[in-house]
Amino acid sequence: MAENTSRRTILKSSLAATMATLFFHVKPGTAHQVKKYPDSLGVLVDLTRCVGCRSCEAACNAEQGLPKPDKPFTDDSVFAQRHHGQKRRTDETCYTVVNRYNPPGIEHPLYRKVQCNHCQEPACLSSCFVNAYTKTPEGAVIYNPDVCVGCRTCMVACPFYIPTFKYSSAFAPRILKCVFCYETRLKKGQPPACVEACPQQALTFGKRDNLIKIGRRRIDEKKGRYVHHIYGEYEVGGTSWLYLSSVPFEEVGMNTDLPHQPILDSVKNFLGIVPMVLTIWPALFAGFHLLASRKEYAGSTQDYHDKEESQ
Amino acid sequence: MKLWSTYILIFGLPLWTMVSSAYAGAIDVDIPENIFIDYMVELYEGVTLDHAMHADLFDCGSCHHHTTGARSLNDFCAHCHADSPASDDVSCSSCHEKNTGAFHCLPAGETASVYHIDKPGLKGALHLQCLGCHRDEGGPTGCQECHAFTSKGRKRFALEDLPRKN
Repeated sequence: MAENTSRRTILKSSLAATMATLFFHVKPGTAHQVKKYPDSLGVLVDLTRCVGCRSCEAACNAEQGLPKPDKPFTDDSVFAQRHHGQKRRTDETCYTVVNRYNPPGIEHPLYRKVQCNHCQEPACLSSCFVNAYTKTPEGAVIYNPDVCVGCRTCMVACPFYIPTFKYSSAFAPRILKCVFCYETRLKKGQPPACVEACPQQALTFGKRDNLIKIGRRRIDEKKGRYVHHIYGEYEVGGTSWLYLSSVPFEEVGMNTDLPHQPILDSVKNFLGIVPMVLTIWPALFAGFHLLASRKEYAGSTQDYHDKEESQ
Repeated sequence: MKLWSTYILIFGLPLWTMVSSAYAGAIDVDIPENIFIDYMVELYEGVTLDHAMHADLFDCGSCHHHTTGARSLNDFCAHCHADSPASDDVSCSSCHEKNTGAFHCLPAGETASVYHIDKPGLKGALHLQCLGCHRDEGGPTGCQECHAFTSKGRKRFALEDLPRKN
């Protein structure tokens, strides 16, 4: 009897402790300092310069050894393609795509290149529980397929919908996305293949800090040509890829509702509870189960004892 | 008759001086007829620029900024270069680097770091200058209207299985 009471006391106190931890132990969110990468490289994309020639797509395909596309890169019918009403997205066969937009009020279309923006504080990296992602000092967000378990949380976490899953090999999970040509070029200080291929220099490669200066200069120098914002300077804590546009960014399909704080800041409190849940809940619910099945268990042992006695 | 000569002396002489000085830089130098641009023959064949035709139709400054000694058409450049003399070499490649490698866009040197922080590489400079104007003036704007693919280029753009257009 004394044994039963003590077990109940333990369960009670553990339940109380869990509830207390869950409800009272929430740390107040402190201002998050985005890690500074003083030598971080980046690319400044000037949407007013892009002519939609898709040279960047072709260069990426060759550099990364991606499969041959269904249509040649000179075929501009791809701009009209829609998948579930959406314009083209990056997938396992292409790490970058150029999409066409027809913003109201301007005569000619605008083109926007889509690829990983290589965030300063990447949400994919924060969300990955096996640390498959790395932010390198050069600015690239790279991925290690050897440790990936294929949970695809990074795909949900990314505010730009960039990481894509190789569905053709689900048993050898692999996430595919732009890696800033890290191994082949960036590590050596060379620009990525897409930048080198761009005829219009719509893509300018350099140190992120300098690119911001250049961006401000273009906005100042060419009065009225650009909207007064460098997209990516502050979005989700800042990205290595930065954008200039002549029309508001939402008109070229960019999400302008993103916070200036890294995604990590919004989920930090919740993510802090996850390990606790993983350690406390199994013990807690095992205890509940034992408690609930105690009578049944006691009953069955009683029957056993009765049988033993009757024999 | 005396009146005419006076008129010519008063108006004609200053006019002649103005016109001759304005065109001096352009007339004295040897203007090439055609320029064959082949610095990057890899994916595309070289391109022949009909320089004489362009020189007839447009101001030197519309392509050469201030380097021919003509006044810069860009007000921003004119802040410093309103009275800049003609440069010894006015070719695009004398300022815009062929090498589109790393950091070509970054500040180089003391004076350059003040204003010339955003100088495009040669490929960017040519396309921005040509295509920008071709759009406004109705020149050819499609990639292959100026550039013929090499076999490497056709491979790069996944065209090698398709029949050639030209």
